[in-house]
Amino acid sequence: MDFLKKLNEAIFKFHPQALMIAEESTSWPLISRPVYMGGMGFNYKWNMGWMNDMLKYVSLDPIYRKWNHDKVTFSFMYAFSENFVLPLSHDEVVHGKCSLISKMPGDYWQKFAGLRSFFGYWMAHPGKKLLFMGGEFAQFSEWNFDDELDWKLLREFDMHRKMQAYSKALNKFYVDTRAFWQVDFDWNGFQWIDPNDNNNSIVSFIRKAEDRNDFVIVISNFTPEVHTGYRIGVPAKGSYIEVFNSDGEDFGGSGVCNAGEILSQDKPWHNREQSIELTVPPLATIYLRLKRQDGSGVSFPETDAQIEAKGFELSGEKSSAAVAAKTAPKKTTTKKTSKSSSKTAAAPKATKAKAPRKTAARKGTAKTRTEEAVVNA
Amino acid sequence: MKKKRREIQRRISYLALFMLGAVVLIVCRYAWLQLVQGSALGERMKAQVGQDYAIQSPRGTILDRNGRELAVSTMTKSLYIDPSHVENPQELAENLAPLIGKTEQDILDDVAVGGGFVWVKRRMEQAEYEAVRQLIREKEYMSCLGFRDEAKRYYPNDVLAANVLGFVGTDDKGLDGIEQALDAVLKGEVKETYLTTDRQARPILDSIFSSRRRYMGDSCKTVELTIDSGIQFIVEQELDRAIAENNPKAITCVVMNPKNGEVLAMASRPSYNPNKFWDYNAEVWKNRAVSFIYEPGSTFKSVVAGAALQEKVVSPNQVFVDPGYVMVSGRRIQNWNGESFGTVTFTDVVKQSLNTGFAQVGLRLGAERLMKYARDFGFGEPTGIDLPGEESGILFKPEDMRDSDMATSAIGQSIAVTPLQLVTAVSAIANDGVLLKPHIVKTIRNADGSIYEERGKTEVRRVIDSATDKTLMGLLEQVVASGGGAKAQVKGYRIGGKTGTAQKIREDGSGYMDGRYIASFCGFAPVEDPQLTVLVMIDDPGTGNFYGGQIAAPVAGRIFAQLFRHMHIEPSSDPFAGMEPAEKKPQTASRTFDMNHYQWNDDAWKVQKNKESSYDRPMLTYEVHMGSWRRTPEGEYLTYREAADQLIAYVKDMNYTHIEFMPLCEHPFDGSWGYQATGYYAVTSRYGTPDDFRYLVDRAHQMGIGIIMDWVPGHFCKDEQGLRHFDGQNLYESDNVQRAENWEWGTTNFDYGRTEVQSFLISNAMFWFEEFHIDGLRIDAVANMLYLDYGRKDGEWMPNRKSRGHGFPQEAQ
Repeated sequence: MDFLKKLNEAIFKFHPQALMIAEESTSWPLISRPVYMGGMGFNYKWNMGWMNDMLKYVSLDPIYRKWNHDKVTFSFMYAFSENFVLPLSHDEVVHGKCSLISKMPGDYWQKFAGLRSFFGYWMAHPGKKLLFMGGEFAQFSEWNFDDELDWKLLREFDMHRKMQAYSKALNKFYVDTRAFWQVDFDWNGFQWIDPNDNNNSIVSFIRKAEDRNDFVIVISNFTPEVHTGYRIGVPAKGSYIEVFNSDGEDFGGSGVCNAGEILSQDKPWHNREQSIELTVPPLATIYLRLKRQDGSGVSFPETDAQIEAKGFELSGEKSSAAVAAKTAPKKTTTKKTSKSSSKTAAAPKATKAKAPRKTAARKGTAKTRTEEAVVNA
Repeated sequence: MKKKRREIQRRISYLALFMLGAVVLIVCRYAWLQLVQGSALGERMKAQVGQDYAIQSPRGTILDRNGRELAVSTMTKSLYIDPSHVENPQELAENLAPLIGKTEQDILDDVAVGGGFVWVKRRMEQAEYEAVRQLIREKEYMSCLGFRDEAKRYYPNDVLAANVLGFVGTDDKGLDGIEQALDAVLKGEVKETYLTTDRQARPILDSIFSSRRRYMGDSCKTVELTIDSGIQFIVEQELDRAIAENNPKAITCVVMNPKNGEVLAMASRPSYNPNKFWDYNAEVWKNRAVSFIYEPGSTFKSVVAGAALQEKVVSPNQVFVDPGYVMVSGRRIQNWNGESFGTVTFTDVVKQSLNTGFAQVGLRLGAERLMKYARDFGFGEPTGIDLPGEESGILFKPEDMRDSDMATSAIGQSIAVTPLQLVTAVSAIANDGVLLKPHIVKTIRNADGSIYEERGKTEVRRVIDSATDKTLMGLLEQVVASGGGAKAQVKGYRIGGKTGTAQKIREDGSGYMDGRYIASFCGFAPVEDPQLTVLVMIDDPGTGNFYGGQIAAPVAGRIFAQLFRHMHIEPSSDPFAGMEPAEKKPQTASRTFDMNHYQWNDDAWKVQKNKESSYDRPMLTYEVHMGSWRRTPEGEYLTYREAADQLIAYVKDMNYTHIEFMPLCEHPFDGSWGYQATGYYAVTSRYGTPDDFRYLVDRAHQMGIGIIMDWVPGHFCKDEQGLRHFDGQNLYESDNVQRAENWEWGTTNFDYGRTEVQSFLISNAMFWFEEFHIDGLRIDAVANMLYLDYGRKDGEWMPNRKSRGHGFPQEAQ
């Protein structure tokens, strides 16, 4: 419509870097395309469809989720038709729609785990992100415009503090990870690994930066089942490292994780030549990265030292082993930080499978330190 | 006996005959003396025993519109000398000379003229008269010195309105200005009276007639001008200031009431004191407002724009490509700064006064239409105001115009106008497109106070349609609101106008003078109901700064500002001005806020932002409602400045990249969360001033955090002080109630079909970017706008309930 086109043209003429974001709930085409391309001239559009689908999905009890798996995967049918922002806005937390945390089914622990898992998935999904205040520490009550947020939750409850720590760490991981934002608006930034595992309600996909070798594997488990030996296809041979896990104990999770390196096997899976087997924590999202392999032909750009430092540097000592590795570790020894090792293993919740948690002797490698940095960031 | 008796009878008849003859003779002589010689003899007699006295009735007063005296006449004494009765010229000269400020030689010269009557000094000051009278008594100069009453013109305000009033020469003759133009009615009547005098020609029965001397002649009338001396004073004060600042050769200002053509003030500098007009160069006597012709430059573009819109050769949103200069039949026409502005709309062309655009408009209009409209707007002929020396200006004959003449006259060059013509034309624009005859004489009254003549509004012709004129006024408002005339802004008021900068032509017309310019601004206000048209014309500024927008517009702005106060013109509850509505609720009055003092420190952010596209950068937005994120321990809102510390630190700590604020436009109802706005240009005062908000944005940028604003162009609040029925009619909303009402949200929808609505909203969006450095806008409820505009039938569009833009109180139930 003329007015909006004129508006956007005028703004971009004088402020080419402006963000013009349309809140548009229908499927009017080409909202976020330039006027000269026949679009409405915005540069972003809120993805209301994704939001509705996902919030409906995560509100379901996990036992029904397998029949609603399409709510998670459907967004990719149109994910790149507009420049989307994935909004978890104020509209979803008022007027009886419940706060994000109260939307989650299950008990206290599951609600938090579900929200963490959802956030992890949201963060990895293509598109820019928007969160309404209060969501980051899982405020239970709906938003009230006439009073401040429930900051007292943070003072009084450990779980909310951990949720806030999780948001902070997740945000940091997002901001520091090119793969999550550099190619947000076309298929070059995204590849499915397995969209079809509705029985387990697990989705797995790859996010890529412009440099094709800079990628992150994302696995989201929307049920409280722990899956050990869960196999996924991976795009490159090498050893993979879990760089982020929403089930970390520091975040209020159960601490099920994949410690150490996961070497890829020459076992075709998911239409890929290489695959890995890993443990998928309950109601959690984990991110994996390929560890740099000297001489393997796979390299990562050195430009962003910060990103590289997170998981790939100072690990050359293992390279030779990795290339030859056929050992296919079922489960690598969990390398917990000193903090977590000092804790007693909290009794996992009833619905949650007992995940083996072995505290192994810390390897004094720098890699451990850097991984720890990520987790505690 | 009988014979004797006959003798006696004959003698009697002889005697009778003789006596008859004698009587006839006497009668004839008497008749001769009386009828034939009578007048001559009468003259001789009068000359011997008396004298004629010319009695001068004082000249009529000139008043301003409020009855203040601008020019008055007083009776003064004039001293004369009778040389034939001077006994000792040397002594007389010695005594008299020092009293009346003359040299002895002057007096001796007067005596030497001889005869019975020589003026020594006319219209003496009172003190001089007293001194001379004393001298006459003491030295018994009664025979040789005498006084006559004479009227003297006096201008109580000295220089005020001097160029308008003019002055009076000797013998009561008006020599310039109103005095000259209305000399016939102002002039005092001279009444001659015969008085019997003694040998020294002093009236014997003076006292008897003295009571009849002070009568007012028939022709001596009082003239009331349209000038308001208060406005005139304000204007002249500003002109003096402008003279001091810019050191120009001259400066002229005219203030007119566009509704009736009354000239409220007319002033020029340099000027003179009409009480001592003889001390000044004759050049400064001129009333430049009517007698000075010059190339109007860009101010003329208002007229051209009006013509073009009327003839529909352009529309406000028509796109022009501005190459920076154009060649028209070998003549290069370039923009004021010589640069190209790229692809622009006609609105921008007017706003930025782009010569290239107007040259094209001129060519499209063609010679005939260009000159027709120029004439219709009153150029090319005297306006007919009651002032002497009015010029008609210079226009082309259409048949003589080459292409280059069309292009140059469209940008106000190669034609010449007077300041008064221009202000009259712009007043026509301010007066709904109807040209009025300017006038400066309001009423003329007889001596007894009755009205002799009243001059009011005279309509000359309608020049452009009312609708066209509204568009044109909108364009001109933009010039002041955000274009080249920005320095004429007065916060809180809507002003329309156009600046102009024209090179001066050589006196001999052989071309332009390098570095000599005329800077001008001509505008009107307030736009919603124009009360004033102001022209400021600065001739040849001497400081090197010669742009109309730089030097003339500020003068006009200051004049506007003072006149608004002087005339008690209320500020517009101005939807455009960068102001601060509220006085926190529940007071809803608009308050203006001076926005020009914040010192930004976010340059680094801007540089960084412009380096990369946002598409391949992280964007993690934290959506915040200012009123409910955090409150003080007392439960009060955080101010913008407090939020700048707490919120930004938190957001930075949590690793977000952007903050999106829910609407911060002024809104009356907390429960609308800001989605029902009344003040689009005001950041809500709940949390502080605009500068406080700027501080917040500035801090965020310094911390590397972007700011996005939620913005609601879809609909606005129905509250009284808001935009609904802004001017009493459906100004911002559609006339169609079905469309205007947003039933679901209890608000009013904008009518996007109206260009003024588009302009309002786009300017508003721009305003937030420019004034608050925000990085993005989240446009609320786009679907509402899209589908309304496409006019779907009722029920065809059901809002997706879950994805509704925002909740409203009624949904809460």
